[in-house]
Amino acid sequence: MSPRRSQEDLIRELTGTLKPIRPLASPLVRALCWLSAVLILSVVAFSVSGKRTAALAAAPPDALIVAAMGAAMLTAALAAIAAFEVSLPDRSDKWLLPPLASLLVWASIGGFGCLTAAGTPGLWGHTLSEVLECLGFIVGISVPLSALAIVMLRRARPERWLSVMATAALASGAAATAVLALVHPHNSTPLDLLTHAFAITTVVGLNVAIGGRLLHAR
Amino acid sequence: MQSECSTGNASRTHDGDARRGAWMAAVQRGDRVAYDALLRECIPLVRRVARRCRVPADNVDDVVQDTLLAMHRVRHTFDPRRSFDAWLGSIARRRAIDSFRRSQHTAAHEVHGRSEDEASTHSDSAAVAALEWRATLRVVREAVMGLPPAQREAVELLTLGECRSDDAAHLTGRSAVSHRVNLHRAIKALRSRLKDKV
Repeated sequence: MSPRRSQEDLIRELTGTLKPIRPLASPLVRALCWLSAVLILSVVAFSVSGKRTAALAAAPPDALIVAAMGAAMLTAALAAIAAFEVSLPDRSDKWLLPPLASLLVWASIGGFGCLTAAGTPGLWGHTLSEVLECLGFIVGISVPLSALAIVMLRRARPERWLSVMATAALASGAAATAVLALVHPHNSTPLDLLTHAFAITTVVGLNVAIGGRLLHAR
Repeated sequence: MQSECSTGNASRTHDGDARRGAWMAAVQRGDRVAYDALLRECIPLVRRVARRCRVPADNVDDVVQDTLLAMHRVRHTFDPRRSFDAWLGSIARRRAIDSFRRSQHTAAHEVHGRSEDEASTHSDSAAVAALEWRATLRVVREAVMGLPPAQREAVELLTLGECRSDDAAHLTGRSAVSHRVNLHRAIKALRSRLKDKV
């Protein structure tokens, strides 16, 4: 059988099995749907932590905390958009740059917060139990957000699944950190920064290891 | 590599691109006539991408078939407001680069395998026969292992495992059509690779 004949067979089989299919919504629309879930989760978390909300209203946090929270939210939004864009075959890898730039800004704000706090008592921050609580919160919020992202991204059958999964995990981790900052605002400490970095690295690692397979499965 | 593998302006005439985009939009609605016409127009475009990516001539048909199958799987990701040729080019380019890398890897592997075979020819006749048999097995095994994952899976399930294509589809989640096409291509590739060795 010649290759020409084989291509004829393939064309016949593909056309013969063709069924109507619903085109994917635009990546921006899908990213906004995912970000809506983040918003709902934030409202729930915010309303659950009633005491802290009252404290926050009584004593607004300083500018650095607000800036860090804003950078985390921006990173989450840009990473979500990038993940949905790159999940499509014809979109450029350059979509991956804005969330990385935003991550850099976010880390710089955290680092600057640590520098401004240098010399103050209790610089290294919290107790081990608080660190674990912080870690648990970020990972706990990231899991449903990552699961939702995987379900939404899987339909695109992304070929660049590693980039897509890592970016989606960054979006989930950054969103969880922003929600944490919302319900528990406090000045950056080195331990805080390390905890957040460790939590996000864990979320990205877990997503790439576990979620990557789900995303890559044909 | 990316720039060498670009689809090329010549292939992306505006009218042709718009026509193919309109056909693809019709394909998403289930139009089989448009799909037939579209697939036939895609073949020379994909061949061009494969050649630009330096895919060996005997692998170009594999790249074409891989690309058409991938295009079928992800046809819902095409946005009719965007260029069809750019969308197809991205899919084809990845297949072509994979094929180019595989061919480089296989070539390196074959050179290594031949030098090992030459060392085994200085023995008495029984030992030589046993060694030859083992070498044959090894060559066949390596040839099967050198196939792309989807083709190897088709050989393992449909030939060695004696599965029906429907059962294989159920086991793997790939379509029965895809398994049959992969098996056909695997046999063709194995025949070509083993022609002068076994």
